[in-house]
Amino acid sequence: MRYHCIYLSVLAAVPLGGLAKPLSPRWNDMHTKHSWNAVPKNWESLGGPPSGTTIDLYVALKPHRQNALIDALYEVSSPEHPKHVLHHSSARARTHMCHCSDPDMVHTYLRSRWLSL
Amino acid sequence: MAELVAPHPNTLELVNSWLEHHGIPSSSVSMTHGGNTLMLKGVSVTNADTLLGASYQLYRHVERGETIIRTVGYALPAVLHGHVLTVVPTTSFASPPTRRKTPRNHSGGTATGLVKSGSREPATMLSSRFDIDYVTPDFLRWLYATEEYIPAATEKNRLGIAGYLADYPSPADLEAFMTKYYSDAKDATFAVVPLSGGGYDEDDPTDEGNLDIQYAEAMAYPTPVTFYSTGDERSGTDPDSDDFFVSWLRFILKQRSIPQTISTSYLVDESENSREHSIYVCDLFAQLGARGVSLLFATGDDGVGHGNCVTEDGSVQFIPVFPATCMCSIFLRLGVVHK
Repeated sequence: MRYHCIYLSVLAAVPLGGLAKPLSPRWNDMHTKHSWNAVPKNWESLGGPPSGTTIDLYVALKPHRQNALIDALYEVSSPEHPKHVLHHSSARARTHMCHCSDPDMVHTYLRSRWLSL
Repeated sequence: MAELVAPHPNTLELVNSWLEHHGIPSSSVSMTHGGNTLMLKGVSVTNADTLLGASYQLYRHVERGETIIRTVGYALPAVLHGHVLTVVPTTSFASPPTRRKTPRNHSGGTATGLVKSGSREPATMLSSRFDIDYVTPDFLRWLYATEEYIPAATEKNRLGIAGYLADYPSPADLEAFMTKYYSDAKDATFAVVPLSGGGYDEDDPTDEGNLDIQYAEAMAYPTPVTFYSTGDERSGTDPDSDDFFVSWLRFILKQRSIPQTISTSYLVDESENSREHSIYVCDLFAQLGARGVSLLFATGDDGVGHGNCVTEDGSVQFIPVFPATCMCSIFLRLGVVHK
């Protein structure tokens, strides 16, 4: 494992203003993104792969608009919203929905199906 | 969709600068996964180690024997932490998606898959109407009050069944199952779409493939059903393959036409992935949701956890399963509530 954690430079490297772009990034100021304390259970190391082995890496980027995706998902999922995708009318959809905020309502429904709890 | 998940322009510029610093030109990088992921194809493990402060090694699962390339940790330049959610494959050691336990009843000839409602023990979900040990299509239609429902818009609607581990069903077994349990639908058919090393040999089906298609057809017939057979790449010669769910998501997100409802009966223990990796996969599923796709996920056969829920240190701890634990309201989760 080769981490290049230069802790003294942490404060200098943290961008001011969130996504501000630093003028000269310190590419060698490496901070751990994620690590396990040990090899996960049920796995054993076989050592390094053969020389010349290549892998495809996928770098997932954070979205510019943090909540846009979930907001869009809620719009198409809300029967009252114009973007709702359900084929039912909102009135018909309501007849199939259980606004079960109270756990007792769930139990009542299950008992109505003669299920023992 | 790309607009919803697009990174900040500064993010792209910064990440590309980082890659160029390591000799990876932006011309060799492509955007994928709906517009929020950069793909770096064919990076040598040596360069990946340097790029990510990592130590990629081969790891073998002690029980199943499959081999993967992973690192137990990785790092990024501090300036990138606010821009990069995760990198894959890195620290995801999630075991292959778990097939739900499916006790079989072979008395029905080639018809497979009656799911016993309680494994090895007396049934725990008793019904005064159905004096049975097995969950039948009739029971499910009664339970969910769909007995009188006639599927509508079957010329427009489709149901997708996401299969992994190269599972796939058999049309002959489906016909036998439907003939016995839902004779009105004995002409039910399905399409199979293999991807990422998945397959389809109608004479050599898998239990889970059969189970999933049979109960899907029993509930949705005559709605057209598509079965996605996602390969078990880890057991082959491609140990750098990434998360199973990501393989399927990468495929489905590229499709112009996607079934309106997709059901998945596979899961992994949530603790086997990093939080960032789980968020990444959940967001990919959310892309499907934002396109109007309804996703149904299994929560397992064990209620709050399999086994006795006792951890190695002796404490009792419930075991969340992924991806059913993705953010509330993205998925409909279905599973047993006992054991």
